[in-house]
Amino acid sequence: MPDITCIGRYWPGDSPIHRMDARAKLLLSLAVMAIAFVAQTFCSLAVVAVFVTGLFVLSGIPLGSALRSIVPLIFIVVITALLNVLFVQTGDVVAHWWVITITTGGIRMAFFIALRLVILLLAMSLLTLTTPTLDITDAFEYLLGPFRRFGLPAHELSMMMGLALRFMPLFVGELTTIYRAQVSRGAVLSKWRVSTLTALLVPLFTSAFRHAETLSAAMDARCYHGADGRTRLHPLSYTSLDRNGVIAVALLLALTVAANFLPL
Amino acid sequence: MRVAFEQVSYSYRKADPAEAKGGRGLRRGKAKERATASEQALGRAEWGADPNERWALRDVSFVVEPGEFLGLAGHTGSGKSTLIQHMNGLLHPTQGRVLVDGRDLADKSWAQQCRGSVGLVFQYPEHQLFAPTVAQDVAFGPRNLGLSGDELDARVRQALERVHLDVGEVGGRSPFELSGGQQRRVAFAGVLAMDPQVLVLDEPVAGLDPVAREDFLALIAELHAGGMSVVMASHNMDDLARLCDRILVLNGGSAFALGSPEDVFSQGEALRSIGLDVPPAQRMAEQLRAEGFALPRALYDTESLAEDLAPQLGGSAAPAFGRKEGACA
Ligand SMILES: Nc1ncnc2c1ncn2[C@@H]1O[C@H](COP(=O)(O)OP(=O)(O)O)[C@@H](O)[C@H]1O
Ligand SMILES: [Mg+2]
Repeated sequence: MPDITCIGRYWPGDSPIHRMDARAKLLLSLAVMAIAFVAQTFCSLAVVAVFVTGLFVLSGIPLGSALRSIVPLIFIVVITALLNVLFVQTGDVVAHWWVITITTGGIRMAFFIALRLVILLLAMSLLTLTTPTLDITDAFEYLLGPFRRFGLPAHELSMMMGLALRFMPLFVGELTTIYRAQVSRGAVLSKWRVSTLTALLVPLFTSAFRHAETLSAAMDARCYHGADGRTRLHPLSYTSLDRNGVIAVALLLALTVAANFLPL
Repeated sequence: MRVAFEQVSYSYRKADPAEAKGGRGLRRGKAKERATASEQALGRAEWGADPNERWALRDVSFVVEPGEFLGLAGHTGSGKSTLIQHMNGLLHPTQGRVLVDGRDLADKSWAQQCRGSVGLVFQYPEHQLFAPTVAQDVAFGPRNLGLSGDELDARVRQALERVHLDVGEVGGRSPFELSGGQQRRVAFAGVLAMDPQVLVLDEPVAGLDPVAREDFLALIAELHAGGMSVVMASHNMDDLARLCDRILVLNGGSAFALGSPEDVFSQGEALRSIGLDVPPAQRMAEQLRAEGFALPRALYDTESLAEDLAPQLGGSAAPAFGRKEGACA
């Protein structure tokens, strides 16, 4: 049974990155991802890569663990790279077989896109590795706040997001147990019969409903009533760290744009 | 059927997907190296060689003889559920092996064959019910074993009878309309329908009300009396003392004690040191013994305690009273 609980698991720490405000981190990591798209040459992409690597060093998370945290998503990178190898037809022909032609341009492009995707994934995982889930959903709620005027239920959305993230590992665990229980009753998963599938999914859904019921009762018991008039124990607040972060990302943007003009 | 654990150790770390994808070959190689190197040095595996390695089971050896009732005691997290999942090959030992009738469960086809004869009931088995009717749910196991038609119907009927449910009465109903205790019976029947020779139960009475508990324990005793081997994990010492032939006590994944209830529960102090206790009557006997009463038996239940105590208090134990107390304890 695949275990997806390791994606973006929070890595406790006390680095400057950990201490940054979640809103700033959310926005800045989006900015870094956007800058990865601004980069048009290997040279400028290398600038972004060095920057992201530097952030990991600063955060005290070993790069090995960081790479491991994106392993479950690496298939996206591989597929995109393959598509590029197959469909980008510029430069010299390296190999030709039946309808498939592989060119130097294609290979170059595949490398470029793969590198860019890895940088994107790393920037995303840096956010989730250094920020507790609750802070991310809080930041999400703050940032959606202005749209409440237009009827967007920002608080409810972020609450849903937080609950979904919180329950994901739980459901993975339960699915594993259900799977093992049904295997003990002779179910063979390699034969994808409908009965086997329902034997896994029906218990999973009944357990989800069971959790939903107890959870809503527990929230009621704690007088939860939605966003209106709700105060916070730990209000988010910007610090000089966030200002420094903005400056660093602005410099990164300038460097990346400049590097785009280098002939490489 | 004879189930033998030979120096079984298990670490969940191996199952970590990042590890598995990242460097399966490497880790396997390392583990092997470590095992052989230390085994040469000590004649057995060395623990704690890798500070990050967390062992859910360490070097556990025991045998479940045919027809035996083996109890598994241990604190939460002591490894009972992990051990239980080794019994039909759901988990494979990181080191050591599990033999069923002399054949290693690492052999996939043998593990597959054993799925029918080693019936494993998970904790809260009613959470795994899924079919629209009770009969269909119970039929899931035997159908996977390849049965159909009259034979299948007979299996379903018998399995429901064994848990004291009537196929005519509940067979056509949705399992979700039944009471909690009944749902658990149905889930139980789902495993019994595979006609296992060894019944493995993970905390079978957890979360049941007192009456349903007693009914359920009586049911398990009945199945055992019918010739089935039973392995039951529980942290209720009283249940274990009453039902088991032998008890394996786990602590932090290691076998802490293995023996008859008398052997195990005469070591009250040792059990308390690992967060367990002895049955209430036994504890009372210990305390009375410390106060100077002559209580010679190794293990007491309410009835035998009353019997031995009454003469010393100048009375006699009323047998009917004693028996009733014993049944309710
Ligand atoms: N899926 C799992 N992944 C990692 N560790 C686990 C998992 N399941 C159990 N463990 C660990 O293994 C040890 C034994 O757990 P378990 O067999 O469930 O004990 P018990 O059933 O006696 O309460 C515990 O330390 C527990 O934290
Ligand atoms: Mg358990």
